[in-house]
Amino acid sequence: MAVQAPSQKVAVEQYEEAIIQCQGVNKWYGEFHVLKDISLEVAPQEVVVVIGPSGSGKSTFIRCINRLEEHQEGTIIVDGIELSHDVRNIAEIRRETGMVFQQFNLFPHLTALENVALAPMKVRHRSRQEAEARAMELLTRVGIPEQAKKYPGQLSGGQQQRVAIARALAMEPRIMLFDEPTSALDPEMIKEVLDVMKQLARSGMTMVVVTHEMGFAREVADRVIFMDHGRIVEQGPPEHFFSKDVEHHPRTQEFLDQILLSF
Amino acid sequence: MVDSSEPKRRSPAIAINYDNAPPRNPPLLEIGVLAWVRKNLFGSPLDALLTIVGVVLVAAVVVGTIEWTIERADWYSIILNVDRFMTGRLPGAVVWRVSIVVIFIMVTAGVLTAAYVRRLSPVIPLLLLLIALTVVIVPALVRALLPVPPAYLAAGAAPIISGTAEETPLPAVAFLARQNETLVIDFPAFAADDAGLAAMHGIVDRATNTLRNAAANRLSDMARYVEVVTLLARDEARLTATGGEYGDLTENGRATLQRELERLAAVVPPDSADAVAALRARLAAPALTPSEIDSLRAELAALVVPPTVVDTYRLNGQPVTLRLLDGNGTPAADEQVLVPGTTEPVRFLIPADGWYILEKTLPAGAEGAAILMARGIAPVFERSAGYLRLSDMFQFPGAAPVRDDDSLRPLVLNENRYRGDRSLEAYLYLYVTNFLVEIQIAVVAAIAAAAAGYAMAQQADRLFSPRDVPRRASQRLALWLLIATPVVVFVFINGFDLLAYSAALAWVVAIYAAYQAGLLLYQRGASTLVRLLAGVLLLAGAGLVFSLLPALIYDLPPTPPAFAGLLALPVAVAGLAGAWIGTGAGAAELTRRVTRAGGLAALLLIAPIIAGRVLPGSTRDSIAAILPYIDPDTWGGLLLALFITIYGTLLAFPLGILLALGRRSSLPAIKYPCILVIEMVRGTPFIVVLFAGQLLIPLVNENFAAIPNAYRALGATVIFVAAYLAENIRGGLQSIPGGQQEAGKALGLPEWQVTLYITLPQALRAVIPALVGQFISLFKDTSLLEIVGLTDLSRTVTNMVAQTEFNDARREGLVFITIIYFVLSYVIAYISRRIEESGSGAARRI
Repeated sequence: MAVQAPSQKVAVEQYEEAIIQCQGVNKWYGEFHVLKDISLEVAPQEVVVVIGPSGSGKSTFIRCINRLEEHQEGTIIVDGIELSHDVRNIAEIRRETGMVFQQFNLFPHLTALENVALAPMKVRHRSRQEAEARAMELLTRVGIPEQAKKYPGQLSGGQQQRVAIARALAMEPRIMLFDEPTSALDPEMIKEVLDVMKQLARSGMTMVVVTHEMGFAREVADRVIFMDHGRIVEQGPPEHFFSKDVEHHPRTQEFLDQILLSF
Repeated sequence: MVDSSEPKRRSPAIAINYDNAPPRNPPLLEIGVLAWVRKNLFGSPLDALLTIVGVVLVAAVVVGTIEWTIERADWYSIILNVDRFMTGRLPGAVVWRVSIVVIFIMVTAGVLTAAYVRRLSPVIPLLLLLIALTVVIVPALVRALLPVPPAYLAAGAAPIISGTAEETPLPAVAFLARQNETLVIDFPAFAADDAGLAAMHGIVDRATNTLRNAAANRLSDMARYVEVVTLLARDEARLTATGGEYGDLTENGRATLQRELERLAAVVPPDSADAVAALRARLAAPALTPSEIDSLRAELAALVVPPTVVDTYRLNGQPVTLRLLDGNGTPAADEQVLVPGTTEPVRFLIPADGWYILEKTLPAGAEGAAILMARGIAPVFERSAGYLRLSDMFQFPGAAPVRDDDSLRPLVLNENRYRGDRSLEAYLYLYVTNFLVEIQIAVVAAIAAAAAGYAMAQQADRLFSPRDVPRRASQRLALWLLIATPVVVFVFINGFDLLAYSAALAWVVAIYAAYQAGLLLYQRGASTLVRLLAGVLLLAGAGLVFSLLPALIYDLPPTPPAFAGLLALPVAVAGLAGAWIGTGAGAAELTRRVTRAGGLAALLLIAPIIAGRVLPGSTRDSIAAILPYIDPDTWGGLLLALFITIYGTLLAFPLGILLALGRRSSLPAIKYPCILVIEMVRGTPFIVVLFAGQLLIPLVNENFAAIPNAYRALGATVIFVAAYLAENIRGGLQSIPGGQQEAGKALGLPEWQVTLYITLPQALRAVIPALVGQFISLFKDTSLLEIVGLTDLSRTVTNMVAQTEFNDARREGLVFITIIYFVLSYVIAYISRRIEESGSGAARRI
């Protein structure tokens, strides 16, 4: 059913090797078929924005990429490592993949600095000084060095999400997954988080972003993917998606009409 | 009304109030105490009713309790057994070890406060200061301001009779006195009549008590006599009036009263000025029937006034000869005579500390008795270390003087106790003061230790903490003290063998060194082979230290593994050096780690080595004798309760965490055994688990029967507490949102690290209130240890009551342990509340 946008082929050919390769991924929650034959390749340094209505499976899909959800059919290869039941593979992929959640999921018993420094110390065996110095650097990069000694409960939503981004970056991942990073934020805080994400995209990070922020998609994305009912319905560059002249899949059109109305 | 063109939208009238009136006070009933009372106590008729009922109930309980506390309770039972309540049957020679432990714990508490309490409420130090001042100043004040409560002693040769009791005053009494005290002896004023005699109160010897009882019985018998006669007369009048149909009383009631009348008539011939007065008063009353008047007249005519107790014994009507002898029976002062009617009391100056004998005799051939009021004589209590004078806890090691004919006895507590309702002064002087004196040193030392710990931590922060982490030094200190506390407590309370200590120490050092080296190797990405090699070598090194210690310390020949160790030494050095070169660690880092490990080793090893090598003539035995092993079955009282509570919780903690994690495991082989243990223990009362510890453990292996009772009880406690902790911790783990685990996993942390660093710390913080509740309830549950034969606080009460002196003091004992349980539980609960409020314990939720 999917209308294959012509640009997709271009995108794959443009880069020599995909960093994320999904082939025929299927997933069921019990009887419920959540992901249906998802095939997708993401090239290094590409920014892919996944959009779609609630329940379309977009969050489930990116959570499959770092194995927070298990898929039942198909293959997912991240950075040349195939996701399987092998714990070592999973660990390796997770080390290469940072993830930012809708609900931030900061560790409330640790300060912002400790949140960022924890994983490098425990997983990469950095010394405390080394890890904290790097954490401080990252906090500066996301613009909140002065909040380093505060606990998550003392920070605003936007600040928390920026700490969460810094925490994911601390592992020096090659891929960043964003799962609706701005959905739980007050409108005036969305911008500060999006700014950090734009900056990250410009620095050449491979990103897969699930979001409803069409402005972000239009400005930053190399490719936009529209998912509905567990399928990739349509994909293409943002110019394709956000131009009114192109003929879209009816489902896409419906979704875009609704979304763009609210702009 | 500026604009009238729009009648529908009228702007408001302009009004400006230039009257700058001063603020008025609110109505009287709306502010302050009155308002509070009105709103909170009498807000509605129901509230008012509840308030009144509540106040009446509280008053009924409180007034009775206070009366009992001041007037009648025998608090010497507590004062003289404080040590038992604190440490049980712990030998007196090792009590100092408990003191050191208490001091250590209080220092730790002070450091913890300085390190973790964000803003110390000024109430706490003030309260502690107040307590310290109270225990020091109140005794001094009371002794300076209030008179010494007198002792009342009887003299005379004739037996004193009250009912069936018969007591002959002893001609002499032995007592403890100190140099330069003055013994003042006088006739007490109250002994002039029976009423005064009956109402007397004070420290009283047995003969005087018999006199007091005789007077009191006579008065109450007489009063009752009049009452019975009146009741019977009224009954008879009624019977006559109804022609024998019915009277005031039932037949049984009448017969009972008749019998009582006969008894009273035998004891007290109908008499007394009071009775006469009462009958006269009734005769004078109007509206008596002629028959009533007749019967009352007849009763009056039958009255014979019997002699009062005072007259019977010619109390204080004869001169008393007083002689003061020292403990050997040689006169210590000139003989003096106390003459009735003179106002001047007899005084003796005590020449030196020790035992004295006061001889008190009436003139030869004189009948009757005398009551002497003696200031300076107080009952004594026999202790293992000698005798204790109870008015001021003066202790004297010498044995009390005796005479062959038993005419001399020391004024001991169980025979010469306080009789009658006490006055507040006597309560303060004899009990409050002595109790405070008994606990003075301990309380002041404990508070001073806490203050010292607090000051020390603050000083450490001032000197060593970096500016941006102002409490790092004190928090590190607190952490180390906390880790050291259980070790110190165990070493001091249990005793320790230096050799075993050295061995344990060697392992501590080895494990620490292995940890440091492991970190080094792991971080520098050494190959597995190098790591393995280093590990083996480190263990060999530990074996070396372990086996060489006796030789190092006591000049004993090294144990055989030492030779293996010796061989291992160069290999170990070479291996470590190789590992170092192989991993390319910076020399600075290696030095830092080696210094750290070495520093710890030196700190821990230096004491035994100095003790063993430097102290002249020290051998293994002489060093072990510093802290010899104490039989745990002698532990008791608060010591036992706290030991079981603290170690029970401490040891149950890791077990509880393991059970909780085990129960959440997806592996059936781990999950179901955990569920079985948890549910079995939780489905069983603590008593049954305790008995299982006593009875079932020896079934596992006969040798386990040799484990001291206290340790078996501890084992049972640990399992019991762990099961409950496990459920608490599991609840805590379940309350952690799933996102936490996902975030941890997404960062690449392996599952066990996610648990260790992310979910478990949060779960533990979330369950602190439940943990404290568990701790407090275990502390209270230690009262069950009595049942498995341990001397806990309640068994201490039982043991105390078994002493003849304190047969009647069960209530006092129970009140005292109630206070101990309550105060400690409350303090723990308060601290826990503060931890929660301060936020350092509570999970900081997003």
